Amino acid sequence: MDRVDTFSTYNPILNFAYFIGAIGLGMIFMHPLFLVVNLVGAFAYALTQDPKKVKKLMPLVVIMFTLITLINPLLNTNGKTVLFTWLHGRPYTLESMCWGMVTGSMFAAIIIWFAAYNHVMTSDKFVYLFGKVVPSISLVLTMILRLIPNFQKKANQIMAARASIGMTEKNMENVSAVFSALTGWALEGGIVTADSMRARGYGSGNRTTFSIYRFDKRDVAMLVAMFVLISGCVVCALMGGAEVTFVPDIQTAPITNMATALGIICYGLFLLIPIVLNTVEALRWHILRSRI
Amino acid sequence: MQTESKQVTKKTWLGIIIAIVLMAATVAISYKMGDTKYYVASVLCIFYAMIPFVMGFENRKPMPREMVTIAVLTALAVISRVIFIAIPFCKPVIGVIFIAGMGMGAGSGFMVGALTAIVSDIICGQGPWTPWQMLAFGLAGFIGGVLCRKGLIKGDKPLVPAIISGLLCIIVVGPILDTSTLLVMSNMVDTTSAGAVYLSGLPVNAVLGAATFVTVLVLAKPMLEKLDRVKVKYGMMEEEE
Amino acid sequence: MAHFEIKDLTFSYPTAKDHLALDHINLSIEKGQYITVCGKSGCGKTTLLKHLKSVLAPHGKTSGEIYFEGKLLKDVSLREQSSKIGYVMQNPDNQVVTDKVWHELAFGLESLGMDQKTIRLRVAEMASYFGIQSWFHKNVSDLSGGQKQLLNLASIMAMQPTVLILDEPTSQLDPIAAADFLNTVRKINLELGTTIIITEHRLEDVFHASDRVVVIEDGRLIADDTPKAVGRFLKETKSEMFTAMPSPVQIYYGVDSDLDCPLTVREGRSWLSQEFEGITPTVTSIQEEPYMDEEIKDPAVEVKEAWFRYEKNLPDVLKGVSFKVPRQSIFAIVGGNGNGKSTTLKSISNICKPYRGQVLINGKRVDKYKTSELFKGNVAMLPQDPQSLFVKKTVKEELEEMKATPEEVENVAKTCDITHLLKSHPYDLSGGEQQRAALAKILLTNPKILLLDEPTKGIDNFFKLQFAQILLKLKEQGVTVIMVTHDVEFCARYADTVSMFLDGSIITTNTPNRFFSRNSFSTTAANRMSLHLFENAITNEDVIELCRQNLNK
Repeated sequence: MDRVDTFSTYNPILNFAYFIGAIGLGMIFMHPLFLVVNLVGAFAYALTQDPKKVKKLMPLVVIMFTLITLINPLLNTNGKTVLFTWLHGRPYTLESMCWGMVTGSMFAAIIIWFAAYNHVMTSDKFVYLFGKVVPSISLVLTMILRLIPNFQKKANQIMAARASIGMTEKNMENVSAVFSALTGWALEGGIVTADSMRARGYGSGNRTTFSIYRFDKRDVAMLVAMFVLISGCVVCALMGGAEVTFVPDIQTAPITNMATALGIICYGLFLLIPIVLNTVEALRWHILRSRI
Repeated sequence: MQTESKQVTKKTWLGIIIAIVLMAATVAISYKMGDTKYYVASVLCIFYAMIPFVMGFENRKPMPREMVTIAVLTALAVISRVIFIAIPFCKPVIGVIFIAGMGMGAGSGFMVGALTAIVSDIICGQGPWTPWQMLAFGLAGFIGGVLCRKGLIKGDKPLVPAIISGLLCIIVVGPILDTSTLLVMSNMVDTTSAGAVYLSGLPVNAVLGAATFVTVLVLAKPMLEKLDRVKVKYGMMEEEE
Repeated sequence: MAHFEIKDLTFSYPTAKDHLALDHINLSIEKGQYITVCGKSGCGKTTLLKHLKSVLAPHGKTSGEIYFEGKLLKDVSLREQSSKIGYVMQNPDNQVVTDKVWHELAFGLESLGMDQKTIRLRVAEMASYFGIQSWFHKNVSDLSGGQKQLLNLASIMAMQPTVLILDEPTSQLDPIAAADFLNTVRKINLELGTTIIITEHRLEDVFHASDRVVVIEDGRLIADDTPKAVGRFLKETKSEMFTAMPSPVQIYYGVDSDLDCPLTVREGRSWLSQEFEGITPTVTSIQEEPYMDEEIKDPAVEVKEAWFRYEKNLPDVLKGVSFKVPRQSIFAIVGGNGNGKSTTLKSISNICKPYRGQVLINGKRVDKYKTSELFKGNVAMLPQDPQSLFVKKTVKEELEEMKATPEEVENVAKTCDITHLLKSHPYDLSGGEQQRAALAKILLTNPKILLLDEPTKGIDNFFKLQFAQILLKLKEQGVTVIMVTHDVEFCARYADTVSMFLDGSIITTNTPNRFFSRNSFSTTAANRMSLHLFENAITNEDVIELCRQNLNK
């Protein structure tokens, strides 16, 4: 059974902003401490949603991480600690490998964040977001989403119809005839759809966009919280609190640095928002139930 | 079905100017912040590049027929992969987008391409590659439209457009997709890492190019004929207004 | 003030300038009336309806005026027309614009620029009035055809139209969904007072509900009166349209009675009882041939306990289907939706391969045939939607796709009566013509066994008759026809054998006469009407014949 993810019941704008923040900040913060926070946040959220999917992604994540770590020094020879040399004295350096590790973990975090993102951002939320900014494109998007299952069904019918008169070959000629037949059918059907839109007043004047999503007080509160936390992260980044250099040698901003500490705290809190919400919700239910 | 009308060009120009200003600003800021934020900066630039198209589309208040046709062609492009699955190595998506651009014009061609990328990714899962895919697919449709409008390629002689679309995959579409790999996987973009990524992508892009070539060669004529028929039908409906 | 006032409306399409698609139509429709517009396919009914809404009016040469609520229709703003004139089209699928049920309900209201609160209220109201709350959040693609059409109706009613125009709204639905839909339309008319203007093939379901029936023939309005008066008029003028009248009307005029004309089965029954008052019928049954399954030797097709499921973990669709189809006959399979009838056809054409049991074609197992052998001269299937077979620009090219010689094309075109359509685009043909073009295409494989999936769906009575004549001709030439259908009237008239399919297997098989006379629900209107007097009168002609014999008329 799907676990209830409280965060995904918030307004899609917040869902989307959260992932933009998480993924965007994750690409900016290269500091090892921030990376650890990033990975913990990503895995924690993805695991509460769908552990099976994370398990499925693990081989890819591990392989890519290893590959990037090992290959980076081959392409990039900077760094002062030379581990060994190859190809006529080309150095293979520790610093470059560490950089590879950082890139690899960043990559891993992005993959996991996107898994979580795809779980939360269903197509209708996406359409809703688009509708806010670009209503016509958003409408086209819903039309596409409606047509695809239709076309799939029709393509199967066409294939079956052709097979029943002996056109069963799976060659370019027959397959493109199927696609061509589908194109004709689809475009003719489109004429009726356009009529139906006009008949229902599309283009007769101002248009509004209706949605089943609401923007409640809790959404406002959450938006403020997210804004504050992201601001903290940005301040930290601008003050150099997340600075890290790998060449010629590895130097990281220390945690004792005020900016770094602020950054870590804000970043961590931001990434943990969904987990905290889920936990609070679970506790609330527990208490409610124990009262009965 | 004329997709770009004269009235909206002003607004489109405005969009282009905004896009260029934003791009410059982003590049400047990212330069100041150090050289490791390529990906974020580049994705922002991609979105800016789409602003003129998006504004152009929204501002001209598209007629239902145009919206429906874009939706139909996009949906066709998205499921073309499933239909051609029986044929090994045949990924017809770019070919279908290219043909759509030829039939609908550059602006609508771009919309079909970008929307195909979004919808494919909504179905199969979005990832860091999504913006790049939108740009690459969009350009395929855009170029198809531009070349056809200029009269350089024609639907009834599919060999030339087929060759062009095939080369387009190898020179433009494939490399753009590879760039996203490059930027996500490597922090330091230099000639070595770039060379490695683009070279390793070449065989894949060549296969894609061949598939696109075949797709356009076979499908351009029947698809454009069907599109033309619908345009005539719409024309009969709209003339009176 | 009339709701719609059509004055001297004349119209011709640019492609056929000499032919008037609408010829001086005068019609006045009062508020709250239920008007049925009938006529043959291509008579101009759809053209007329489309003129009643400016955005849908076809391009061409128009003269005359249309007034809506006292104002010239072209002076009524687009927005007002959008909201006040609701238009439901034929195809349930293509009318849907968005991917979610709730969004579809809201679509029109969005276009009218209403605010969130109003839309929310209207959508909720429509969902409960039409009983669609339970699928409110569903994807449109998960709905059945009937549900989709109901959704189309609901999303138009959400805009609170004062008049509802329906253009053959049930032609793509099965009989149960169609009756449901038409009942809802009736309810809207009675409860909300919405004016209804409807065209329908299934006159049985709308004729009696109509305040007025308008008959159009070749662009001219030939009748505009109460249903009963229109029935009389069509009979007296010997109009072709008479054959489309509901069974009770046809039987009434066949018997030549002095009583009042019945419109429904219920009225028909009491009318027959009145006719037979004091008379005990002496002849109560039609002569019939006995049917014995065991006697069929050398069947064209034999299915032996076939079991099939689409995927390993899905339930069985075919659960031990067994039947024999005698050579050179028309074999019909009837039964509800989605219980495996179409799958049975697909198992005969070897597209669905049973995991247990056998399918024998001419005594040889179907899976032993090579594909080329099976589909060249043995089996061919006409799909439910003939458009599935169309790829090309003209009908002629469609036929040539079958690698046929010009002579073969000419012959098959003659057989299917599409010679005059060879140059047309397949999508420009009417439903019945498309059906015949598709049939021609599959006949080019010279099938000895013809499989038909819902051949009468969306086709009006005249085209049905024409189609039946072609089938009878093919039967004479030695073809065996197996069809799956909902159309009991068609089976009763043309099939040699009828089978009832239920829950994955054949329950009973018999001659149409015995088959239908033993059913009391899924049988013809004529049979239901005469059940209390005659044993096995299933067609209109049967009932008329028995009445004549007994009443000496």
